[in-house]
Amino acid sequence: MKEYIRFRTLGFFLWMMAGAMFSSCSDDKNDPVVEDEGKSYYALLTGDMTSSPYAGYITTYSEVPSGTIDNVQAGSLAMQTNGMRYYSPWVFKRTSLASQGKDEIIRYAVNASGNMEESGRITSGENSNYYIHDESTGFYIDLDRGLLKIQKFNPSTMLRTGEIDLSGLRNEKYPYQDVGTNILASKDGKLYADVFYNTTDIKGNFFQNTPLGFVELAVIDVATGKYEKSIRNENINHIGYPSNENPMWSLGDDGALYFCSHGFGATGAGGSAIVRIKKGETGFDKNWIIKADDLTQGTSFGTVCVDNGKLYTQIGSKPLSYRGLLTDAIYDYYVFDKENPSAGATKIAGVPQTTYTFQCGQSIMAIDGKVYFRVVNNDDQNGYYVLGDNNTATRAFNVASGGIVWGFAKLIKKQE
Amino acid sequence: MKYILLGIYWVCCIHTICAQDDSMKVVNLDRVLVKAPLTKAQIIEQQAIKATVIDTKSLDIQPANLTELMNRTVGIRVRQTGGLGSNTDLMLNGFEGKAIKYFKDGIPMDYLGWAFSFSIVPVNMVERIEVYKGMLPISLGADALGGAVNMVTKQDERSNRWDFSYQYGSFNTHRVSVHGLWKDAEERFFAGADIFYNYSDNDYQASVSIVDSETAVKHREKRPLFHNRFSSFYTEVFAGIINRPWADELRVGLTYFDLKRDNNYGITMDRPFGGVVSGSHSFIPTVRYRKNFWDNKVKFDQFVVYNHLYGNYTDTVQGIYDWYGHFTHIPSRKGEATTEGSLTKLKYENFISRSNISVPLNYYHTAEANMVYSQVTRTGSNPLGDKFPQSGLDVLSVPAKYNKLVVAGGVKSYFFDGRLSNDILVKYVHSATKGNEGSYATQEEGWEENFIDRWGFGDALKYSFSGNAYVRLSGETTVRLPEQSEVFGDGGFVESNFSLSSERSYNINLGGYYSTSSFTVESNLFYRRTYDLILLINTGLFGKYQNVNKVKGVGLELDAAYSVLPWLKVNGNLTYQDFRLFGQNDAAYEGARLRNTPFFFANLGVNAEFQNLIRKKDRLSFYWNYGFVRAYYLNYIPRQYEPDGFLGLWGKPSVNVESLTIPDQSLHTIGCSWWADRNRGFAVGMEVKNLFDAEIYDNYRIQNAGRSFYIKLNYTL
Repeated sequence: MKEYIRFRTLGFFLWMMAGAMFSSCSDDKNDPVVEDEGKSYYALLTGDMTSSPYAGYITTYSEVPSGTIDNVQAGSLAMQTNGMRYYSPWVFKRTSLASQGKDEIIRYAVNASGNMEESGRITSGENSNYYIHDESTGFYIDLDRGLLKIQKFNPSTMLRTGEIDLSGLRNEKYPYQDVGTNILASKDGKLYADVFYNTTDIKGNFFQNTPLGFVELAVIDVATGKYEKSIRNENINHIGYPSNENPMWSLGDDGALYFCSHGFGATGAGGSAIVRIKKGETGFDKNWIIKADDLTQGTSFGTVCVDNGKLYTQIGSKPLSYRGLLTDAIYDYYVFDKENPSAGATKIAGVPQTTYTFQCGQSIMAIDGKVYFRVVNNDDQNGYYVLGDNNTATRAFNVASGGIVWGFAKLIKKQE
Repeated sequence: MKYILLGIYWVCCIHTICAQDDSMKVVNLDRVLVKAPLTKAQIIEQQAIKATVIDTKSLDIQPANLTELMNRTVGIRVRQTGGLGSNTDLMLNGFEGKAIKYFKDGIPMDYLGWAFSFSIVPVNMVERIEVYKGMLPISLGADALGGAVNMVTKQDERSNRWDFSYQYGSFNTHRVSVHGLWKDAEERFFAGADIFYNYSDNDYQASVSIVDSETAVKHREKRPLFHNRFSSFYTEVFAGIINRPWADELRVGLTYFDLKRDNNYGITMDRPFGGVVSGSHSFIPTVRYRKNFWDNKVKFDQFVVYNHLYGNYTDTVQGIYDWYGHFTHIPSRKGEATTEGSLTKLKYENFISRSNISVPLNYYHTAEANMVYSQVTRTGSNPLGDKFPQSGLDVLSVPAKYNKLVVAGGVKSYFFDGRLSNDILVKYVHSATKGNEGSYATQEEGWEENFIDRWGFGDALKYSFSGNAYVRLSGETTVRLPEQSEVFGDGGFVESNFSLSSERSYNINLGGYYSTSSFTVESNLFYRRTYDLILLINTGLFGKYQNVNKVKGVGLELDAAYSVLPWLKVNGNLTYQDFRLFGQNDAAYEGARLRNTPFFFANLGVNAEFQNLIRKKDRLSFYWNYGFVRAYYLNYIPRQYEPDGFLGLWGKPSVNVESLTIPDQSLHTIGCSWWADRNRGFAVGMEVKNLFDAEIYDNYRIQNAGRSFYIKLNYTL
């Protein structure tokens, strides 16, 4: 009997581990998928990010693609290619080819033919950020409804369900203030939303704004919608990225939130770092930081993934250049011991240099127990590499035509 | 010396071969056919250089506007973003936007802004519209990649003529026009005026998205546009002297125009605006001098204009509207279209000089030269807009200068009793731009200059088998110089690019014409190969105009008319154009059709005309016009996934582009016109546009009006 209980316990533990591995390094889920109850699809988004309206296509595969593929096929769905987010079984975007100049949150699902199609949308006003907490709870920003409000919606029904009013956070010291435009993330039942301040009366941009020397997050209880406290990190000036499908944070398989601070400034990147909030805690881990300038002066962290005790990220071999954001293939993938980042980083072997992650929120993915790296150099590399033994990665697949890779996700369509 | 004499000998031989044969011949006449002389429009249409001419004389009583008339013409597609006064763009043989140049009486229309656009000029103001698809005649001096439109105003030969017209129609549309010309009895002085006024509420119903404020879910409803008014006033008064020893005509004109537009939406109809407005106005003095020399053989024509053109764009409402017109105040906003708002005021200082001279070399060859020099200086302000990062100056406050010189020369020749004609031309274009270069991407800011020089060549041949049948062939190399904004960027997130080249195109046209007393048919095949199309390229955080795309393809136009009965005529045309990308880095898009570009459209018309029906000398006509545009797409579709019907004319793509489809469009229009007297006096026209109230979409699915009614009254003194 005891052995049976131990076996059940061990089996459950292994089951949980598998679910946790599956769910980590996906920017859009904070709870592991416990059961695999449906058919798996792998959605790949490719297109042209160089000319408006950034047209592309998303195509589904029944397994992780292999070899050389053409990503525009019969049944592919035309979609704007500037990145995507996902929460299985759905893909989400906040802009569309047909509605230029207007933000909406659009949900796509796998249809009966196994192809992506639009399955719902809500209008989100002046929107720059959104987040799917779980199947029934999502959050988004609509600045037309208020700079200090977070809107709530149900991703299953695609209906707005209410709002969280943070007007009480107004700090009159700063002419401009908003919430949630850069970061909306959650763990342990708490929602974290950035509180953005500016010394002028507009939101501005990296080039105009004076760095304030800190970032601030509001901590909100998801279940009640009640604001609990604000936390600050005074080692960084930025967190997340507005109006970008790449949220620049991820939930590690250790239950901690890992945030990228891109470090963009008037003349380039500086002070970029990765910080975290550990599982079970609601404040920044003040003793933990990875600084990009310690590795390459002027480079920028734009992606992070924590899986099985390792932290994976992308580091440039040269300073970031704004003009080369989409073209400079100067980034390598590195791995850290996540509990001892000061020990240094180890380059992932076998991976050619790639361009900056920018609007791709899936540059590093843990899928089916493996870690995948996006590799694009606008030449012969346009796909993913998969990590194998001895810290060495090999090519998983390469896209020969259909545009540059800007999104990749595993979706599980439940059996009906 | 002997080589010179030998050369003269051969030239004489050639002319002898080609010259008229003056030998007397005896011919027995079978019958004598008297034909009406060709109209000016017909003369132009039948030249070697292909031109489609819309002769508005017979149509000026119809409530149809120039946009509709052009859309019924083969090979022409007007892209309009709404009702009267909305932004309008023309597509010719796959070219559109800046590739098409616009002229008024042979003068580039830049100094007029949108005041004399074909979308707002009444039909009565214009005698004809010449549309050149590809090669331009020497007299039109411009760097036109795809073609040009020349709007020719009334060229009265009869003096003391006054035309008045008033049109009233749906959406509170009023259009008034007055045209008058006076000459003294000795025909030494003349004076006249062209005046028109447009007004419309443009409050037609459109299918728009209504958002539930609680659930944020939208549904579609038909709502009237509520902030879409347009008004324009244009007046040109002129006077001059004619028939003097030192001048055939010296004409001085003064024009004033004022346009005002409410903008109810932006690029798409997804979001309504209730307070965004724009407009422009200007006083424009002009001088024109014409003189023929040497027994009217040498013709000289000089035109000069100088004006300040003012434009404004205001977006300062702090809030948003819904499609019911309800306003929500949002303090964080400074504008509706953008959160930053806009209070843009622009001033363009324009100077244009056009000189044209034609000289007969001999009986069969005439040389012509044309030179257009234009100088534009733009200044302005937008306190809510971008500032140069380094100096903090308002981007618009810093002057931007753009000078352009277009010189063209060529020879028109006739051979074989005039059956064969040839136009050969060479064109030189030069641009000089000067502006302040600076953006977030650069560390420095300062004045920069940029110069571009290009040559173009063209030749057009026409061979007439008889008076009723001919073929023509033309080919050209042509360029479009980059605009000032494409070279200098916008001072913010669009960088400068001083290595930007001009767009280049090689165009060939092959056509034929045949007519009988009751039947006319014309066909035209065209081929183009275009390089270095300029696109705004996103480099991550910034943009930069670059020479990117290459397009090639062929097209076919067919135009036919048939008199079924003396009083019943049928006409129709179709255009098919197969323009595709080539030289793409991505194989998926190699050979893909141009996106957002109609590739097949057709028109059908029936016209019944009766005379002396109600009173003597009257004329009554009934007409029905049908226009069709095949569905096209906002995204590139790889060639193997296009609709599988013949030439893509039916079927659906096998990739999912449903949300990006501009569906098949069918537009029916019926009308009737009655002239009390065929030559002068009172006339009335009535028209129902979009008879079956179909949903008609245009650029980015902007909807045009549904069923609407118009009546037009004309009186000619």
